Amino acid sequence: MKHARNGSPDIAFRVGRRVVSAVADDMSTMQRVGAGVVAALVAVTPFGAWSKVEAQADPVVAGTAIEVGPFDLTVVRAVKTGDLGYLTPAPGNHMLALVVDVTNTSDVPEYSSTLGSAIPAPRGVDVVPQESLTDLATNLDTDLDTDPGAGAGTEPGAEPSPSASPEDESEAEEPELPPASIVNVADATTMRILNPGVTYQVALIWQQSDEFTGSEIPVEVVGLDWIDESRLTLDNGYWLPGEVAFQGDVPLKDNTDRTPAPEDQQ
Amino acid sequence: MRHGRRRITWKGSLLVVGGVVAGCALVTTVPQETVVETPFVVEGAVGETLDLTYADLTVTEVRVADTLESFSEAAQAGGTFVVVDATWRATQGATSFVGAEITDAEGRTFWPTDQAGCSTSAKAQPGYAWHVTYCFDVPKDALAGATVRLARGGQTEEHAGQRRDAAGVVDLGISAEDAKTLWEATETVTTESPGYATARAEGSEE
Repeated sequence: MKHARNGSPDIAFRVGRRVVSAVADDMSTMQRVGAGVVAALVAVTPFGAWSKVEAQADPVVAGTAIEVGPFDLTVVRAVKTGDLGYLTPAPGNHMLALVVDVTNTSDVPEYSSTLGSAIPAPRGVDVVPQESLTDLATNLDTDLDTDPGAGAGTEPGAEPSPSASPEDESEAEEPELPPASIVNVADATTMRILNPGVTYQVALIWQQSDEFTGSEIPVEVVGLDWIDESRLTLDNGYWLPGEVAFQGDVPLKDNTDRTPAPEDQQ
Repeated sequence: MRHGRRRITWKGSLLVVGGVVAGCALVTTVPQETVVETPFVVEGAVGETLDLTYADLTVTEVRVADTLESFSEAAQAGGTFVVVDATWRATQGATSFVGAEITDAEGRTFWPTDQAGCSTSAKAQPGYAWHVTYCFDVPKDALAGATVRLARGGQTEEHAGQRRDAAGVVDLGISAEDAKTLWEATETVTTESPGYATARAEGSEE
């Protein structure tokens, strides 16, 4: 006994098949494949196939461990203060320190600069920008930036910087912020090597303008991707900073009124 | 009558095919790159002088410290500092000794610090012994069974600088029992600047 059929989907299928047959019958195999690909592309368009994928960054919370590349990181606190060890701010500035517990969980040592590349300077909080070559030339009263032929250090035939594209012009105008100076909190010495399995409390330090009076700073932690061999430079085995993986606002403690004891200054 | 034409025989074909197969087998089975590129490791113990062809190496003393002190700064260990005193005697010419790392029983590697007067490398003229102190910050579980590897070639990029060259690997002589005792001790070591080795520091053979 035949079951009763629902007529409308069957008719739609038959009509569709006839349309496809009518179009595809006169096509070669290659044409059919091409038409199929075009049809598939058109079909996925309404579902956002061409939309830019926006990576969702996880939150940075003080006291909560996060995993970035070879490191386990815990943001402890953010502090602004005057002198920090051998680091002294210029007049009108103070030092901004982000204190982090860090453990290298890999089997090999890592340079502290790898940690620095994962935690860039906080943006929008008046961190003193890096002095550019043009600024240096101006300060030294040279004509590096006035001679177009000299190109201010641009090599002939050098590829344009990716950041120089028109769509990024607004970003390119932002001053480049310096990498952090990384200091071991336990002894105020510079950290260069992070050996496996050893946990350090380090301070990532920048200079910040006194004009900033906020009570928290935005902290971004960039993901690190392992590159076995770079196709561009053929360099072997290194961590490449990628997209922002964690971000959040960290309360800023103000210790600028603390002056070092005389015995500490020796 | 045809001159100079050779007939293809089964024996000749088998000979050619056999030769090709034997060649392929040799290339496949013999680890040629490993043989050529592996450093020539000379193993020894603390106090023993190792002949690395380009230099004589002696690890004279191994200490453990929580704190390192020099005339200019003090450094606090995250784990504990393994302080390795060594002497280099260059035998061929002025030589830079760049490679220095500790390897633990798990295969993890640790690089030296340049804090508090410790050295990460050395350079010596031939004809005399040059004393160097290397300091490695390591975790507790790295102490037992650790070895130190010293060479003129660097250890970065999987010991690329030591390929086809000699490297000294010295067992630090730390047992599991020693490791526990050493970890619990709170020692401060005052580091010496690199310099000419005294007879005492140069090792038992001197």
